[in-house]
Amino acid sequence: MNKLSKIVILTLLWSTACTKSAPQAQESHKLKVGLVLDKGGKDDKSFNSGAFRGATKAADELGIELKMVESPDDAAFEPALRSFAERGYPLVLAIGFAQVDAVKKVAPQFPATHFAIVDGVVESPNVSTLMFAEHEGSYLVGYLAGLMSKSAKVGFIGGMDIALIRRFEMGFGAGVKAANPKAEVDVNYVGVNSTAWVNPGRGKELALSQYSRGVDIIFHAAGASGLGVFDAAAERQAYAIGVDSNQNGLKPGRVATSMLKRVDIAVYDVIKEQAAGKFTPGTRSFGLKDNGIDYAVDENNEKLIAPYKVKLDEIRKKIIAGEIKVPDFYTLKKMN
Amino acid sequence: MPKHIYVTIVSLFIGLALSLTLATILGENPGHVFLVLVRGAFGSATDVGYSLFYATPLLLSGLSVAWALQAGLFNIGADGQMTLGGVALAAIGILAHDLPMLVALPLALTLAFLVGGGWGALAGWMKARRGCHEVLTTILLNFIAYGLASFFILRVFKNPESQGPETAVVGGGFQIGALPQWIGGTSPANWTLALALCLIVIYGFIMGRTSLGYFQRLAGEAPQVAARAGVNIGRQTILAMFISGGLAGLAAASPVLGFAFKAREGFTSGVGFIGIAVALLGRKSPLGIVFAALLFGALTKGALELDMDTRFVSRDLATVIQALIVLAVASQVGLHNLWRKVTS
Repeated sequence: MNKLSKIVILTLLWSTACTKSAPQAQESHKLKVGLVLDKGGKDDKSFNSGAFRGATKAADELGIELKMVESPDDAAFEPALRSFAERGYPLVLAIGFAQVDAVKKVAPQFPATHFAIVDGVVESPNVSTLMFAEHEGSYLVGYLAGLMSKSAKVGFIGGMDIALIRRFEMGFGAGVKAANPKAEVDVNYVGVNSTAWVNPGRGKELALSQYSRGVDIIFHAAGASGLGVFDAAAERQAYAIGVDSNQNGLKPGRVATSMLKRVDIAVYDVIKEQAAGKFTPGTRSFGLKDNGIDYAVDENNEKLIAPYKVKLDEIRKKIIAGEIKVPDFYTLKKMN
Repeated sequence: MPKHIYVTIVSLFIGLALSLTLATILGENPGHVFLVLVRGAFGSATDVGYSLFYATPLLLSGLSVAWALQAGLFNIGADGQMTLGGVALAAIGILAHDLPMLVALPLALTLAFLVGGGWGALAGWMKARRGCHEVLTTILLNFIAYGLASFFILRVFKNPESQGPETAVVGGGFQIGALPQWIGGTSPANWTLALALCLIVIYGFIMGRTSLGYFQRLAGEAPQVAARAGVNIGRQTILAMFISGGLAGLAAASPVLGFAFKAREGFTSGVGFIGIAVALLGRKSPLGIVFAALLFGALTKGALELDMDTRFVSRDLATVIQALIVLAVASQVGLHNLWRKVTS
């Protein structure tokens, strides 16, 4: 027993000694913002990366203090949101529809804290909902794919088979048909559960099989699984279209464009409003008209899409003006 | 106190000290990390509640693995048995939506026990009748269980109002209430905790005082003796895997009926596997399992705060701590000898 108690006491002494030498945490008066990312994590080069980029930009430009948490599973959203609220963070950002339940539960318990959620609707006086018109952007890149495809066969690879991704698929298919009524769209989904977002191996497999069937350009909406689609495109010297973030540079020359879902802009705007004391609850939709949805042009694909650019911008204007009605899976299927 | 308790406690300290050293190498102050962990787990009633909430399924999955160990079987399939148990809970909660609680809960829990138990007994049967090693079969049955669960969650009982991979919400009679505020604060800690503790007491009683427990242990510790004495080893094996699987099935009660009120895909968060560590650390003893489950629950909750309050380490440090503790316990023989040298 003596030895044991010695070990215990020594360990305790050691840890207390270390504690005393700890520097006092600095109290800052900066606006604190908590960011809870979905399972893909900040390096998915897609959706979560976008949110992280927007928040980092706000941290650099607006001098806020940013704290980011990645969630390994669905049970960790709630305690993460709650921890931020308990620590007095005035603004907590929840990225992804998977956090809807957690926000619904936590937000009413902390009425003084502002929450913002991307991709899922939560109605509460302290919650701002940020939605995107994914179908508009998908239509636009679908139109490009329809113009570019020489084999009149284009592919779509979705991540998890859910309404949100069906919305991409439906818009994309409509765009393809508008550009080339004879074109066929080959559709595959990586999976039916949340691992479908993080399975690049399967993404590549599906892409290779689509290319083998004569498809020459694939649009993916599959989170980190989409990284495999780019590998396949490089291997087969075919084309791919990126999603959410600008993915043109992942395989330069093989990525025709990326449909941008500017989660970064949405996140940045919310933080900016909070900093200015103008946080507004309620649902907000970002689309082509406010550049919340866009397609990426940079040095990697400038030349490639130059011949189609004029036509694309014309289509964009028509969608904004309402002359082209893009089918929306949400309203057609009454989901979400 | 028996010596192995010292060894376990020393293993704890070794695991903790090594992990904190790792944190120091990464640039953190170990005292700060330790304080963050402790404060995160016990800082307020809600924090304690979360620790209990994470401990609740671990109590049952640890118990499940411990029961099989008593009978000399290594049940690696608790996660799959728990998954199917959870699907059964959600299914009955949706199908028999309007049952009053007094009927609903016993019905649901019995069903989860039978489904988890049936899945475990399948592995037991393969071992008893076909000689397939249970480690292999239980691992493989996990994958089949996940596949079946996916099918039922996404195709049969899918929640029409959500895009997430989850079932619809169970009826009100099936929802297990939260613990009172003075214990659990506003956390999702629920009355499944009481059920788990009761079952652990019953487990201790059965193993120590009844013929059922005696034959189970005899089959585990001295199968040849048992066979000579006329014990049907095959039957004991199937029975052990049935009860072990049933307990794992009940481990789904807290996450499914006490928290989400629906079965989400992957709701186990690996609890079935951590149960193995709980059973080993707790050395199959009732008190040991309670202690180990509470420790791991507290570590899980405390670790969430690491993401917020430290700069160079993340919640994964808790996994490292758990792993090092288990490693230290597993190397207990060496430690025991070392202990003897130190004390002599």
